[in-house]
Amino acid sequence: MVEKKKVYDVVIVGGGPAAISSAIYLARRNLCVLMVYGVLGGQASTTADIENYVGFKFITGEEFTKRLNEHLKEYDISCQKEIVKIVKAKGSLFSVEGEENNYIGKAVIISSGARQRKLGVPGEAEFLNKGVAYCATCDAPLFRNKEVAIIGGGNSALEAAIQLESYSKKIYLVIRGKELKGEAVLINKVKGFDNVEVVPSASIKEIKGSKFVEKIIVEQEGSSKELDVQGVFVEIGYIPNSEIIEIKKNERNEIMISNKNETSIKGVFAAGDVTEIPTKQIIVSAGEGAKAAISAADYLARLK
Amino acid sequence: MAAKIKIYTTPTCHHCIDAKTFFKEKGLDFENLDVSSDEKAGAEMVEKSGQMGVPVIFINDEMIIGFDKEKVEKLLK
Repeated sequence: MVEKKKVYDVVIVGGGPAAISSAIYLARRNLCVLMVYGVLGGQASTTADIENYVGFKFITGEEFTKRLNEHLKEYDISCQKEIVKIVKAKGSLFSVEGEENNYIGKAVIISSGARQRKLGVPGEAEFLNKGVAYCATCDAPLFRNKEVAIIGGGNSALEAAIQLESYSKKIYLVIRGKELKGEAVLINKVKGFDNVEVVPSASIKEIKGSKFVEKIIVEQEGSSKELDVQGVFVEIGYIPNSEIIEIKKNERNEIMISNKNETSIKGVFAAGDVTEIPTKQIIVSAGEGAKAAISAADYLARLK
Repeated sequence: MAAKIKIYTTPTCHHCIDAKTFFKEKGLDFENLDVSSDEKAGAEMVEKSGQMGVPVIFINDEMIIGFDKEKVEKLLK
């Protein structure tokens, strides 16, 4: 049960692996925890296959999210699905302001994650859901027998290619550099697909079509070329969801933290992809969430 | 008479899961068409909605693109 006037020991912002890990660690210390989140499981929930989380040889993002939820439900943790707008100090406490309600905590853990970066080219907004997509796991089946372009050459782009391989007729991987970047396992898998063509040293300039996407304009080493595609999957990295709080951030707007997940504000901790940690991985986020929870618990113990 | 609810989804999209949870919590029966396994349903959805995003919800003959909770609630009244 979520009670609005209650002062929680810790309010956790976010619902991904970092947040859930924090919530469980805090609940095990008998602390009163509220988790306010947009998407349960966070980015992990739309990850197709997870093969690098120790203890799981293979698990889908969907199944992994179910397990996170089951684990969460083992404890007395209040959960509220609501987008958080602002987090700020209120006297010696903290106010977490959502779209509808305000919540009060003695401490806060920010694990609001990151969102996908957009291309910022003409046609991107116009053809959203009309060929332009940001989630291959969600939308790949709709591109059956179609030609698609994936923009980006990192792990997320490779995973998108793996998702689309069995559906799409042709997949162009439009990458800025000369070579694919990412885990060797993924690169080798993608290189083995007959229907994948890497377009190196290239950047997308425009998305064109009438009712749906019909082609993209790509600039490759100074010359412009057209690729006939009906789908464009954008996988060019992430932007931290850090706008909700005024706090010390790095040049990429990631929240700066100590090795104990403390931020520049006493009583505010941060964990996962919203922070400056260089490794954005599910297992790292879960570990960071645990660390932040222990630091928050220690902080609360000292307040008493 | 209970509304006839039909929803086009994929198993991993958040808004699809939210929409299905919403109907389940209200105790409403609905027909789920998983476009990841049902190719015909996928083509039908794109044709009817003129776009490729899931979910697409039909309440009786009214179409809702995406999980617009307010609109869904209004149509269920």
